[in-house]
Amino acid sequence: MMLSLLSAFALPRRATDLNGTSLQTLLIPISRPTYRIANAIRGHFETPAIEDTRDTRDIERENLALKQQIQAMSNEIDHLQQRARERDSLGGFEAFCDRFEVTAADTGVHEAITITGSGISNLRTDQAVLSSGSVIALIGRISRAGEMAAQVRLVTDPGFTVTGHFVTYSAASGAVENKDLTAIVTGRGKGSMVIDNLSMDDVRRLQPGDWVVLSDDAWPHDLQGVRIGKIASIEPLPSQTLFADIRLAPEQNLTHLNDVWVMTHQR
Amino acid sequence: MRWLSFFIFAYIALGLETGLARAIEWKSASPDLVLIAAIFIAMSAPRDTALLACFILGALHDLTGLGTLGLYAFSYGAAAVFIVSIQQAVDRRNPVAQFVLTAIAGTIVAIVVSVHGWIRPPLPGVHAPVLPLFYSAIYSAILAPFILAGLQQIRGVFHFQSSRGGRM
Repeated sequence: MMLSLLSAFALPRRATDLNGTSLQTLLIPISRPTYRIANAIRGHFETPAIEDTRDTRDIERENLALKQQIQAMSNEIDHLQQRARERDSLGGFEAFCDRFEVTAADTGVHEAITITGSGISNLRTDQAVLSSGSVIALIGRISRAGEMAAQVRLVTDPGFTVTGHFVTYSAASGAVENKDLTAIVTGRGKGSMVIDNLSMDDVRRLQPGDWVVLSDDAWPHDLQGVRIGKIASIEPLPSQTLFADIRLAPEQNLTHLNDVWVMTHQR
Repeated sequence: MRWLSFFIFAYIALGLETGLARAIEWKSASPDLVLIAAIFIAMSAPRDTALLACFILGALHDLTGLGTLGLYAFSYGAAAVFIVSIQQAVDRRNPVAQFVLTAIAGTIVAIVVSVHGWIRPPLPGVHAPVLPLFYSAIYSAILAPFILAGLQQIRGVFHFQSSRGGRM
């Protein structure tokens, strides 16, 4: 008991902090089927929450604008499809990724998942991890790579830090990147991230629903511009009211993912 | 106590915890299945055996995550000290007793983990939310009577001794 007390509260963090151990790998025979079955059941019953408190007329106006926009965009789709084919031939960053299966999620105060699959032994610490699905987003990096499994520290883990910039969307001008405003995104646990380095004046044009995308030289060049999370709320920072307390949420619950992409090689 | 049974039990509990707990979380609170396993041991085994077993369960819990080595070992040990001290006074088959003990043990764990988070944050000024830890204690307490009732049915495989001083 005394040793554990010393280890937890007194010894230097570098000596006691675990970046995952191979014990997680031994648990895969139990955790993998349980995780898959439980997530399948959860996915069957869970419906995404619809939170829109705006006036009905505002929503109708937005629907009308969206219809007009669909019309305008349909012409653009052909052009974009052409460009997509070109990009495929050149190779987007997905071409540098391998897919892995999620087998477990950390249940302590930390936010992490365990992944496995063929080629897992080729993974290296600090490689970028992306979500799979219709929207690809940065979800974390490899914190420990083993022969049979690897642990991924999620962007929502307390203390995980990455920089990015904002992408705002409006019906008039579409998606607009704001590269002048560098946001320091810090994980806060329980599926949330925070930006608290910007003043309220800086963020007056931002609104909930806007995106933060990666803009960080510490990450591979091909990943710059990949989504990190979307703004859930903007409020003054309680301790310094001139600064903004911007809460971010990932596109989906990162501890309920079934598969992820790991960027295993670079251009 | 039969230690081979204990380690198989710990293995299953940890596997279920990492695979199941997040999937059945509610409002960011997930049940602590390993704590419920520790409570089962603490309520059933002799004092010293129970303390050692709970400490091992906590240490194994530490080793499955990204956290700090010793944090859950100390928390579960502290919870076990409380439970074994009143072990003789409670009916281990009583669902209310199981609920209350799990809630208190979960609160002890939540307090220790919260204090650790405040004293040693991952980055200066960055603190993990603590309320979900306390919600987890309640969630675990709600599940505990059902899980512990099932575990009471397989109590025989552990060969718990009624006398004090466990057999290794």
